[in-house]
Amino acid sequence: MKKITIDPVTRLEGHGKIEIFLNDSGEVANSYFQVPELRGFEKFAEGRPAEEMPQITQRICGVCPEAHHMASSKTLDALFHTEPPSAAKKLRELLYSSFFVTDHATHFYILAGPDFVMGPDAPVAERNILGVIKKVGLELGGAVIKTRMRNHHIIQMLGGRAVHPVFGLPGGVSKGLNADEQKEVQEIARDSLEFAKLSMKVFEDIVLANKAYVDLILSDTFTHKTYYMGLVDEKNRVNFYDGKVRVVDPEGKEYVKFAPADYLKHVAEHVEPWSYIKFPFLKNVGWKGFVDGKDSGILRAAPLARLNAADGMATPLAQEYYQKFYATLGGKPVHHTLATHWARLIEMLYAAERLVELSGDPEITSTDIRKIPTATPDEGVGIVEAPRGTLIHHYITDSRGIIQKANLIVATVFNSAAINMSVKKAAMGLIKPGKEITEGLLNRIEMAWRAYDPCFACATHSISGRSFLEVIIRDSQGNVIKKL
Amino acid sequence: MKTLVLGLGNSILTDDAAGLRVVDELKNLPLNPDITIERTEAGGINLLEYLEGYDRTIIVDSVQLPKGKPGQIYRLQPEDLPATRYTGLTHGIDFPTILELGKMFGMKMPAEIWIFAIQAQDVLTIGEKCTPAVAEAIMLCTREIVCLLNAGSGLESCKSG
Repeated sequence: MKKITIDPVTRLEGHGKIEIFLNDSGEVANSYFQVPELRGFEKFAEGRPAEEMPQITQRICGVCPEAHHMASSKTLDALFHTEPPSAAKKLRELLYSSFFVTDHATHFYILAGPDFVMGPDAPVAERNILGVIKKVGLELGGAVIKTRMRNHHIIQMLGGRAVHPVFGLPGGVSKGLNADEQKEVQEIARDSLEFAKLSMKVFEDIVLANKAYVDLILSDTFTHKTYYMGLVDEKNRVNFYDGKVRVVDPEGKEYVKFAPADYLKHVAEHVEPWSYIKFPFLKNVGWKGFVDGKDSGILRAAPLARLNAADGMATPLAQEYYQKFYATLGGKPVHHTLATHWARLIEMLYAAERLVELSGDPEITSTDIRKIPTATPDEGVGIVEAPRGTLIHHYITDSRGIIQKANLIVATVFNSAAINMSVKKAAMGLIKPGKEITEGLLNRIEMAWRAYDPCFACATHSISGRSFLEVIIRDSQGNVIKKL
Repeated sequence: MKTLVLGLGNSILTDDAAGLRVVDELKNLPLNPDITIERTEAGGINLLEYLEGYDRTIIVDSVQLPKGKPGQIYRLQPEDLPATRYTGLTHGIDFPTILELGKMFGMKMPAEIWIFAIQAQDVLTIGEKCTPAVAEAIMLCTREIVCLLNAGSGLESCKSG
């Protein structure tokens, strides 16, 4: 048996890898998606005051700290039985929309962009952000960087710093916006919206206008029929910050809609001996292994899932593209994993439109931004949509608010079973006996998981000293026979 | 010479915090006013925003090299880091790419860059305390950086072993 390892070690300690096992005739026998475990989070949290959790949990991840910060703040609202004033909720959503614009822009241009702009088979030396900028031009490249920086400025304005904001408190936020700051945010919001519109056009020109890419997106190799999950508002429209969790079945029909506090009634976690990461599934459908379809409880989160799980978008332009998305891809739900990139841009447009709405809201400069909790804390669940999918925080405290138990289910974990299936299917579709396994081919397999924008509890930032991607092919004795 | 000393890492991931701890030590020391001390728990492309506008930058971080001994200090320059342009993850953008990006957009990137990297023992356990070998290296590394800042250049005479 031969073994192929795709090891995206961005740092030398390694952060998740894909191993593909071939049988003696060279066909894919199986594949495993593995993530190293960060140890000791529960123990670290136990015994600390719950109010520290928005600061602690956001340090788990250097990529989406704002998502943890927001989920944690909402968990504290529930834990202390307090409801933030309307202006505080709007300020939280404003900061969060700003974050979504930067995060989705980063993924599209820096991670997904190289595959589509340069092409999946382009040489590695060109298939990167520098290559993308050379091709799309300095002006658009500059807009990506500028949009990110200016939205970080909004986060800094409200949270004191651009990374790891100090903002959410039980019952509200620490700081509001004054009239001058509002004006500045409005300007950044308007420019972000223009940037998001331009990005939709870039996607249409580069991806949708290229038949080879559309065929790739629609191909069976990148398709799975699963359940989809996402937060929705009272009209079942996509919402990143608040609402109920809605799950639709592989036919697109609502399967269940539940309040955050009820998540344990609907979600269970399957354990495999070869993985530290757990595999959440729908409890009432059941775990049937790594298979898709209506009888399998495997569900997906992230942009494509959110669009599928909702009935539409809450802002006009995003709604227009939402309709176009389904009209182009053959109706709801869309099961093509690579369509996630398009869904992500529709969400970026929504986030920018929401930023414009919220920054122009007369209530946004209100000073009524905190309701001091008075009830005795006990237990709370908070759910937000992280850019990568649904994120759940759950804390149990004693009557003094000291953490007794903390449980988190992060977005990448929700997608872990689906990622595993997607990689296996892509590998089976692409690796054939006698066909040379090129770097480009392995990159196509990697595209299957890159679409999910997985984040491997990625807290460490040690300097990288070697290739981000290591591919090792081994023979049945474990000897390296080829290195790419 | 306008100098930035930038500490990187994760403050609650045991030895991953080494770079942050070094700059925390530096903050307590009297230094020339043209020296800026910063710390960030951000990575990847977010670093671009920190680097603009300095003549010289010293980055302090943790590292795990295959044969390294915990607490070993590496003194590197950007050319020592192979330019790996593959972008697999959201933060999967390497340091040489960040510098090149900055230059492409006409940002003033530091002409002189030093990277101090401390070999970490444990970067998978959530915790606020570094392992003993790394804790000792933090003090040595701090002293070396002070020496380098005072000497202007000439790292050799500042090495503590």
